[in-house]
Amino acid sequence: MLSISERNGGIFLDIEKQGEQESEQPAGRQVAIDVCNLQKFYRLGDETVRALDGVTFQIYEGEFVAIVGTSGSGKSTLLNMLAGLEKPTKGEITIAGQRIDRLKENQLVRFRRRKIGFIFQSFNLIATMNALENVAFPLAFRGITKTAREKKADAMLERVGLSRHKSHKPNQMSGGQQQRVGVARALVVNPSIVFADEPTGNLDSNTSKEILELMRNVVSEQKKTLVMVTHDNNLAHVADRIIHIRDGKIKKIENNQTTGIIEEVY
Amino acid sequence: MRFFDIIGLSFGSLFRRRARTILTVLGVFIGTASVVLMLSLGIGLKQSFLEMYNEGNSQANKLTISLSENNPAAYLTDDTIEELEKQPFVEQIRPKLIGRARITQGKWAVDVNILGLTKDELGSLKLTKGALSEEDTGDLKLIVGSRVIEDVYNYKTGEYPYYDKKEYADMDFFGDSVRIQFETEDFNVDYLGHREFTSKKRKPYIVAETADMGAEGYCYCICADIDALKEFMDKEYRGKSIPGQPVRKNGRPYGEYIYPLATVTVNSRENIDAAKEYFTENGYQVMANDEITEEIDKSFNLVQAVLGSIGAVSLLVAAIGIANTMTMSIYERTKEIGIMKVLGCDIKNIRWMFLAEAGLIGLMGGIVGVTLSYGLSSIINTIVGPLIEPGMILTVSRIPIALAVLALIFSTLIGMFAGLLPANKAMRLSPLAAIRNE
Ligand SMILES: Nc1ncnc2c1ncn2[C@@H]1O[C@H](COP(=O)(O)OP(=O)(O)OP(=O)(O)O)[C@@H](O)[C@H]1O
Ligand SMILES: [Mg+2]
Repeated sequence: MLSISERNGGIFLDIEKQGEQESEQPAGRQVAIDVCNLQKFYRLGDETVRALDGVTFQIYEGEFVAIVGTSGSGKSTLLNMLAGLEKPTKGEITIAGQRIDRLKENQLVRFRRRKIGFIFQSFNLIATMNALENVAFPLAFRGITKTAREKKADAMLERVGLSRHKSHKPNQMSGGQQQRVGVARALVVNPSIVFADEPTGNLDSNTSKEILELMRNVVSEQKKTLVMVTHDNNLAHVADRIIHIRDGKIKKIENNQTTGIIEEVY
Repeated sequence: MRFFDIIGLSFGSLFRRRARTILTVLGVFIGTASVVLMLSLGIGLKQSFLEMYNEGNSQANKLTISLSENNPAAYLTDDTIEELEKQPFVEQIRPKLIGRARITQGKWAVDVNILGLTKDELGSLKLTKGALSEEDTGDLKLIVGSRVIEDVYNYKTGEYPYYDKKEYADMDFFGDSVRIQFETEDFNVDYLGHREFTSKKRKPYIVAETADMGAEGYCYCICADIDALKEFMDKEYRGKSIPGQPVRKNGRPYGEYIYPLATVTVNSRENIDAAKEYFTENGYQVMANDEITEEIDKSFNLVQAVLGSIGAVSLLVAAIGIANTMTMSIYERTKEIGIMKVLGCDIKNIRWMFLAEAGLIGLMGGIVGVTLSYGLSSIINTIVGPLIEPGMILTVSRIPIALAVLALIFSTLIGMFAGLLPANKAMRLSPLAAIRNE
């Protein structure tokens, strides 16, 4: 449930943004994530690392966006800030009308609980829990009863094709199977946006394709926004749009959706 | 998050690290057990003392009055007592007469107070030996205090077997007859044969024994029916002045007994203060049982505080153990905490998870500690009790239910308190810990 103020803010911002966007995008598409001049500097002794050096873009609802770039280009930094795991040095991030760069730690957690699903590169399943318990785990943070949790988790595991591995512990499953559990765990809470940082980074290429396909299918059938970080250009081409970053700046945004590839060069 | 989900997670992580949990719990239960045992000793000693003191004298609505100055108008005679009993707050006044006597048997002698008590008070004494028969043999029937034997000395050598050698004299109060001699001179402290006594009569006067402590310490006295005692003393002294009894200005006795003490039963506890005031104003010295009880309370509270703080030190050590365990636990689970934060777990829930974990360690330690304390307490009572007070069942260690419950609550709170800093640390851990690949 959104509070009144959040709703008002949302409506207000949506109206404002729509005016700007009409020139760029077909009508009817809502902005899910609005990033404006985002910067993140790290201080290392006397040196300042410009992990992100002013990026501006929008991600629309129901869109699958891939963020690609070489190692150290700032992809993870960007994604972490979008998910509210890290505070930007400067700039604005607006998600569902909420300025998440201004939120406090406990507000950020609540924001993630309500809106965000997260898929990790190293799966990050809880080692002591079996597949079903892992998928049900984030539902516990929402105060859902055990039976209701397990029912939902069960259906989700079915969806990712792991109905026969419910009682397996993470160390009794292959990487691909673990990541399926990870996908199920991210989606079971019915988030509006799913973030994934190199979700196939620890998998071989065939399994990677399977997992990617699964993510894409589940996300599109449930009309969720998916933002995925990868350094693999081939995998990125499954996405609707591809944001290329280099040295903390957006190099170009590829539009994969329409017939030809529209390139916006920065 | 639901309460039972939080508790479940805490239990789960404690169970995962069984060995460490058991070691930490060990520290807590030793701490709790020592606090509980120490306090139980304090409580047990105090209550045993109060019970001994209050036996046969249990109501706190009693006052003991005696003359505060030599004022003939206030002398406690049968008449004045009758007058005083007319006061609205007085239920009953029981006079007490004290006769100084020497009891002898063979070479043994003992100088004691013979305490004349009213019939009902005498009847309420708990007898440990013999019985007080109703039939009137015309003889004085004496109830000997259980500790009178300690004061028995050898008439010829002046040796006290009990004080000199910790042995009891083989004087047999019941088997053989004894002589009673009443003291004729007041303040004669030179005991060896120089005291003057009334004529000697040998008879089996002593019929029973009591271990009652009472307000006047009955177990150090010999008790008798007050009227029988008066009659006996009348015959013994026959016109001579009785030591301890006041005399007229011309040196002649008053011709009736003046009681040195009386026990006043006040009709309700609320009137105690009014009664005290009244008797004080009318020239009596008042000693209230509740005051004595308060004194005992105060001194034993100090004993308890000292014993309790000895136990508290070990509980403090246990608390440090909990804090250490929790810090380790959080360090190990940095990544897990990060994952929970990314998945949207409320930071307050994270704090509660760790507080619950620390509290559970405390509670488990408390449960084991309290159970152990009950066991140790009964062992102490069977072994140490008889050492302190031979022949008597003395419960030196007592654990009231309230103490057990308090100990459980306290150990849980100690656990949570020890877990507070680590839990706050866990709450503040960065969710990025989940992202980093090690
Ligand atoms: N906590 C930090 N302190 C200092 N520098 C950092 C920190 N985190 C990231 N950086 C720097 O910021 C830059 C971007 O890092 P980031 O992790 O976003 O790269 P990436 O694109 O995700 O790389 P990869 O593909 O290897 O994961 C790097 O130069 C990195 O060294
Ligand atoms: Mg990265």
